[in-house]
Amino acid sequence: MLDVPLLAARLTAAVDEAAGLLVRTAFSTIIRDANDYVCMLMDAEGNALCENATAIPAFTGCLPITTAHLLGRWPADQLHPGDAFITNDPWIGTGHLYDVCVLVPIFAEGRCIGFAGSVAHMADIGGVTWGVDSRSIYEEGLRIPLSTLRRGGEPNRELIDLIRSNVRVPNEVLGDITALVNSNDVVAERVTAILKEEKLEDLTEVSEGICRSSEAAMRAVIADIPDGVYRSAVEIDGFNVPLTIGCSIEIRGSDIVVDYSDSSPAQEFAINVPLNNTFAMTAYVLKCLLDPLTARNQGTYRPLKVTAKPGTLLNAIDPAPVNARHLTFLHLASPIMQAMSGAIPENVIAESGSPFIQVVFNGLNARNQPYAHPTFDAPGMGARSHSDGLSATPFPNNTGGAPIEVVERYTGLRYLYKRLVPDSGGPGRYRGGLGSEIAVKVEGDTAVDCSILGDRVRNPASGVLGGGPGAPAMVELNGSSLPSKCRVRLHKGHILTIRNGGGGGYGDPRTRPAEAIARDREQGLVTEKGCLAYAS
Amino acid sequence: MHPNRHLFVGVDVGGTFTDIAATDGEIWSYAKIPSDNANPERAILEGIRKVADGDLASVEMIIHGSTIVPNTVLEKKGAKLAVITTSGFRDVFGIGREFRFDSYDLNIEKPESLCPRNRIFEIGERVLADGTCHTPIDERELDHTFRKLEEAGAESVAIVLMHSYANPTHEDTIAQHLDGRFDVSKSSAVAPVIGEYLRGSTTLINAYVQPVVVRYLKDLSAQLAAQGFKGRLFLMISQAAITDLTDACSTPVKLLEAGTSAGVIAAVHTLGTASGDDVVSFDVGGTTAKICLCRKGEIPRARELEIARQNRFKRGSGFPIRIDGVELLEIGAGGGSIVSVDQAGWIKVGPQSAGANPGPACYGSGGTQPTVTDANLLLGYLDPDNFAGGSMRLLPDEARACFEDISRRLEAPVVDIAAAVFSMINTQMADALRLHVIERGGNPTKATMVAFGGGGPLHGYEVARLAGLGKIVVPPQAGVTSAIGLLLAPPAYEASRNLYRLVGGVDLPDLSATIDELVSEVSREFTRKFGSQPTKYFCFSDMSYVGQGNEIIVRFPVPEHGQADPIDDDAILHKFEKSYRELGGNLVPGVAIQMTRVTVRGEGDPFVIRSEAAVNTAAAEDHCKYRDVYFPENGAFLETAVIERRHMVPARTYHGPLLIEEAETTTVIGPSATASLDPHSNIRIEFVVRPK
Repeated sequence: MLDVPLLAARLTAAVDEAAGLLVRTAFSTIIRDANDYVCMLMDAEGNALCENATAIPAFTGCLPITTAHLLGRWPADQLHPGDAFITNDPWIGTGHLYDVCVLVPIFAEGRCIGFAGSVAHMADIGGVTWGVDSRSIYEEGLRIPLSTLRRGGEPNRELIDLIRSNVRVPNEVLGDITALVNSNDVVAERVTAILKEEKLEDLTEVSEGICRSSEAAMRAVIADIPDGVYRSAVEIDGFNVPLTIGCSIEIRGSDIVVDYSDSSPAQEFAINVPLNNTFAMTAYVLKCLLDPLTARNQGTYRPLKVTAKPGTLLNAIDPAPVNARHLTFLHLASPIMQAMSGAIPENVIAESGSPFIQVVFNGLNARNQPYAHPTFDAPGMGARSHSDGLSATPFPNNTGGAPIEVVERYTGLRYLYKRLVPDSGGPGRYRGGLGSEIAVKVEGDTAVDCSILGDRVRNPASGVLGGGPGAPAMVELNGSSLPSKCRVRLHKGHILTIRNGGGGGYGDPRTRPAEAIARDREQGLVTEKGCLAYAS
Repeated sequence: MHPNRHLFVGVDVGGTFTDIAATDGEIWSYAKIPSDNANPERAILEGIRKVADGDLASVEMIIHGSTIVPNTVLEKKGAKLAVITTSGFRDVFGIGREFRFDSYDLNIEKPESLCPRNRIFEIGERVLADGTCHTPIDERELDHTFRKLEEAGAESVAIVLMHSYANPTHEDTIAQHLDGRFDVSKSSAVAPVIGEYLRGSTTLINAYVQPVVVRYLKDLSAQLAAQGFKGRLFLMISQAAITDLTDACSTPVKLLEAGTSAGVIAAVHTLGTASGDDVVSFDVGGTTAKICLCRKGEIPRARELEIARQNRFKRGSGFPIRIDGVELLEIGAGGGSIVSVDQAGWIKVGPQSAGANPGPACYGSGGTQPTVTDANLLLGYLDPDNFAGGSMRLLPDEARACFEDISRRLEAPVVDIAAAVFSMINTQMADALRLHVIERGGNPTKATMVAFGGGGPLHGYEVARLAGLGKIVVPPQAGVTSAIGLLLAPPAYEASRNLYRLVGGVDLPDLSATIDELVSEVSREFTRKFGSQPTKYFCFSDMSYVGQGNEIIVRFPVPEHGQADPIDDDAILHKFEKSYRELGGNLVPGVAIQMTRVTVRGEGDPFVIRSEAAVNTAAAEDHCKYRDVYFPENGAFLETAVIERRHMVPARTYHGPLLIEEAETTTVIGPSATASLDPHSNIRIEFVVRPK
């Protein structure tokens, strides 16, 4: 009999080997600082089998869809050993042009038996630099339709030249694409060897085994939730007018259908989300809520259907601008948690401070070299059912700020401080995590261009089951507030302040133990005034 | 018995046992004493008395490997700590690393900072990235801060100022101000590297453990002296070297991975340093397996370690420590690893461990959760009547009973579950080993495994088979290998400088001058500690393509003094490209290469040289026992001969399947391999049939 867990462990090790190679040889800072990459293995039908240990959910949920597109364009009998395919099409890949996906078919005994896939966020993709203000996909950079990158071992030199001539840092971008191809080749080589050692012809049997067990685990939890339709609506900042995400979660037996049709229409700015991303983020949040510990694969996704009316915020249609689609899809944890809070109160957490405020600084350093520095300094996480929210910890994204000393050396900017914001954690039986705040001063003589991609200025993270909201986010230039989505040019002496919001509280603040309130007070996490929120 | 013996003693204190190895240059002796965690000196003294026949005056040198640093942090028994930092940055230490170490588990907790927020004091000073002073220190403010430290009752103070790695003068000023009144750790001295949290975390841990370590070493020295010891006491450090008491007391964080690096040294010495083979050190204990590839016998360097992981083996769940150490992989797989079944019905092994208490179910000391050892017993690998030299009886009935729940749930017989557990843990170790070897640029099929620790020789055969290794060596006294390694460790001292230098740039003299400075510093400090000059120098540089975050460590020879063109950029470039390719990267033409840090290590000869171990003197006994043992490659139990290690004779080939038993471990030779005893009394196992 096939030892499925054992084979899953071996295949996962192959994917982790590839991920290690990718990280070691990548250039884009966002790949290593924000973990913005994945390596995966899919079977011949494109079913996800395994992913690297630190894979980010926004990508893992999308790559099987990309593989299905590939098979639609090039059926298995038209694939050859030594092929590699590439795309960054938001509606085929992972939702914006910066993410380049590479797929490599895997062969055993001359037959295509699966796919190695990887995605990474490039340092540049041409077009306007990363921001929220593009009005259509055409402004956002080079769009690569699903294309051959290598055919039977022969690189597609015209395409490579096309990429080279459309991006600002071609060596780094092509270096990262090379790293993606190499890592897929490692997966292909290892999987072929494992199949041979295990005397298996293909991945069919192991794929069924892997997916069946994860599907069963997911279904067992869903079946325990009473049938019904659970609804919620949350307001988000939007670009210039507030928008709504309406969510209905229908549970029937062991199936879940999540629909976002009751959301605002797609916008003329780049906060729209292709359905791929909506699916991936929804699947991630549900997995965290329902069955966080078992392996993730196609079986995880089978009980789940995600829909949204075409042309709405969460099912944007080509050529809608999508450059900063994360500013919308990072909200999706909120409506799902709010909708499910009555049915599974132990599992949900309060809303978190993401989408956080990110600033991309573009300028010249002391050596007159250009730099692009995106901040990842974190907001607070929502409180949990049995513990306070984590401070300066993002959810559902999983990123972190770079060391300040490294940033100062690399950019010539000077940080005045980085601190936790007292009272920013929402009050509750369990307190929300505190957000972080930084202030950055321009010291050099040349101007610094900033693109601000943020949210939660008007709509802070709500509490859950009686908990209060976290503090809102804020961006200021020399003490005057700026919109959370804009571009601004800084000059010598200017100070930009970025305050990220706190997480919401969980449960009635009046039931918080006095010792916990006193400890927060003593440590300065809550001020005397902030303590009033806990008074009965 | 030997009135003029000059004994060298290695003392390795572990969680369960204190291991002692001693030699006078010819004869070796060993002791294993149960550790006393509240009072580690007791087991140390007992063990030393035992190997020295009660005469501590005959002991010339003691080399000690201690777990006091990790234990103090894990048990939260360190000093009352305060921190002084640059105005605006007190929260850096509490914020730590912002990402979640587990993406899916919403209930994780991050490690709680060793210093509470209200004992972190900011002062108004600022140094910039280039080392220039932006805001000087105000002496009056220092007085004020000093009073606050006293009010807070601080015992130990960590000073961590922005960019102090580039200019330590402000930290020095504060330290002078506090001198004598507190234990003081300066970040510019403990870990002079860029990155405020990484440097700060290292410094906080140093300050936290310092008073405890100093007290311990003082007590130990006093007790040894009281018993007649007149020799020198050295300490094992993470850098695969030994150091003196002064260094250990001023930078105790260096002691972090003492035992682990001693084990790796012993593994390399097992094959002989001159063999030039790639060695994979494979040390399996009760809770973890430690795997380390030493290419051509050279011990690999790591720049960052981690301590006090919340989720035992999850990378990123503990405090990062930036000290030089041994690059190795530790995974949560050992004899005590607990077997469970997850929601999907998959068998999981570890990372939780039953440890020594309650231990595996078959120990009969209260453990009810099934462990790897229970599976090994059911599969015939362990003899219930001859475990730990017969000192302990294992209970097969308990082992069977503990698997019954899982057996019912998965609808499979207990013995099949045990076989699945054995396969799973070996596969986990083999995959981890393979990955580690490949990522370090090695080739598994050409490497030799040195297996030790209680479980290394038992799992070594199957792990080597799965990972594709061809040879396994099991040293004698495989249960006290780390204590032997302590005696074989070289004395060493290292010094580093940060520099941001492009290779092929114009500032070449700068590098030569820096290395000259480092060599003088190392030579001076080494001589002060060990009373002689280093016999060799090494130079290491952290290098990467500009823009890449991942640095690799490139080793190059230290140039001779007075050479006209001491450092050749082409040679350095060539070394970088060679290392980069070996680690699996494709070269990136057109991108500049940078050096960010350079380290010089001066090393002396080890005080003890491992002489040829005495060959077994016991007569060969042809009489052997047989029992049925399960081998995954056959998927069946095979009738397997069982012999005692002391009955093995040289120049004879033993065929698998075979089990070789000794007091602390059992060596497994599967059906595809043979074994023999080499002149150093190592068991050498070779695969005869390369299983596909």
